[in-house]
Amino acid sequence: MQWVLNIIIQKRNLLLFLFLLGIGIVFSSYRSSYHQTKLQRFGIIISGGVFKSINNSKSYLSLTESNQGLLAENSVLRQELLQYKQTENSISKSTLNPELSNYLVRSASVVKNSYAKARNILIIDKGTSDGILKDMSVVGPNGIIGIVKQTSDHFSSVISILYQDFRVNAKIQGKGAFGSLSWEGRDPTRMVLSDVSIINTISVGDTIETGGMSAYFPKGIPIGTIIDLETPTSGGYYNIEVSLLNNLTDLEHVYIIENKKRSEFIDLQKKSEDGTR
Amino acid sequence: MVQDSLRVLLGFFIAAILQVLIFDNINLFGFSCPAVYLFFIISYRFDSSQFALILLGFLLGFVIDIFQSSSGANTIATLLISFIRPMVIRFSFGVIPDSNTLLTMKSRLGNQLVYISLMILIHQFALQSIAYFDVTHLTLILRNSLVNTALTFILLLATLNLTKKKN
Repeated sequence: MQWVLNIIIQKRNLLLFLFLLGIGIVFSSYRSSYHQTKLQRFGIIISGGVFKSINNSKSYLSLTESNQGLLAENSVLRQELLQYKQTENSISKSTLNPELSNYLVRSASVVKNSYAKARNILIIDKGTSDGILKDMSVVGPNGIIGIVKQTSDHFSSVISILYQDFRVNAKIQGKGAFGSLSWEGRDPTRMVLSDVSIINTISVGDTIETGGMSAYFPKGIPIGTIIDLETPTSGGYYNIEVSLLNNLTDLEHVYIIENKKRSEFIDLQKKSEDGTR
Repeated sequence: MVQDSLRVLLGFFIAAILQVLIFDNINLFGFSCPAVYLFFIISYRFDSSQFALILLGFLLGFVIDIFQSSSGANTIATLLISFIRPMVIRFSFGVIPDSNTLLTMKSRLGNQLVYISLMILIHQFALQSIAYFDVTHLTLILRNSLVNTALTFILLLATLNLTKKKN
């Protein structure tokens, strides 16, 4: 114990300097949003680099599990491909969904993942040099993950759907009922679907998917299944609890989806909003 | 002892007030603003506590930042030169300076000038780097640092000349 005190006394000037420097940096980021953005960008680069090397060794140890997951995903994709081929044979190409070509999918590895905070962020190993831009949507093997928040050359930070204040437009598969999906900050496997009117008939076990009513996520990406449903005594909306299909606490690979017509969508939305004012 | 502390505190307030009220309003070439408050750090006694100087340097920069509504660059830059001052003193004067304060130093004018200019240059470079915080603005950072250093150097020399004890 004595030696710790000796070091503190000997290095008191350096320790005071570092402490005050920390306060200075916090003060600087508090006073200027420019500095805050720059510091966050710097943070992504540093934590991206550090966590990438940790992740490399971790992923080496879990190769078997990753392979199994990828094999399962491949089999699903192959199955879908076969279905498409069948459709292609039976009907002409022009009847195929042209929307599929509106999206570009890129893969990335997760280098840092948080799920225990009220506002969780992921860091992935792809950045602007790989064509990743702010506001692109991020999905996992089993459903949505989040939205790209900030990018550096080789890394990007992603706002996870486990982020309080973040809402996703969602619908119940096979039905016309739309709602708003949000996270209450407790369990990383559960989310709440609100604003679904009680005039819709829904039941436990129904699948929830993206509604496509925003420029972020394409329509029809699965999110989770309804595990609990309450019909309120007053008010016209259900209280729905959803179990997520993706395990957001164990993510290694994600896909980033670029909506090629996003700017067109946003321009039109802006114009329409301006017109209604 | 108490008298020395009071003198230091008085110096602190005078430096802050003069900077905020007078020198911050000098806008030479539209971008240059001299940091004459560095007089407090530069003229601080060589044998006084460095711990206290680091604290006072931080506070002085903080006060200037509050009044300039700037992003915290003065706080960090002033803290930095308060911390590295002993190294600059050793570099400029060798192991032991002739006198314990610049205000009573009579000899070694060249060393004094090296000490003053180095302190200002490091402070200005840190200040401009933090303010712009972007490598692509390096030429702007260098231009502002050099012009501000020259302007501050002239004003600090004049202030030192006025305050030096004459025997």
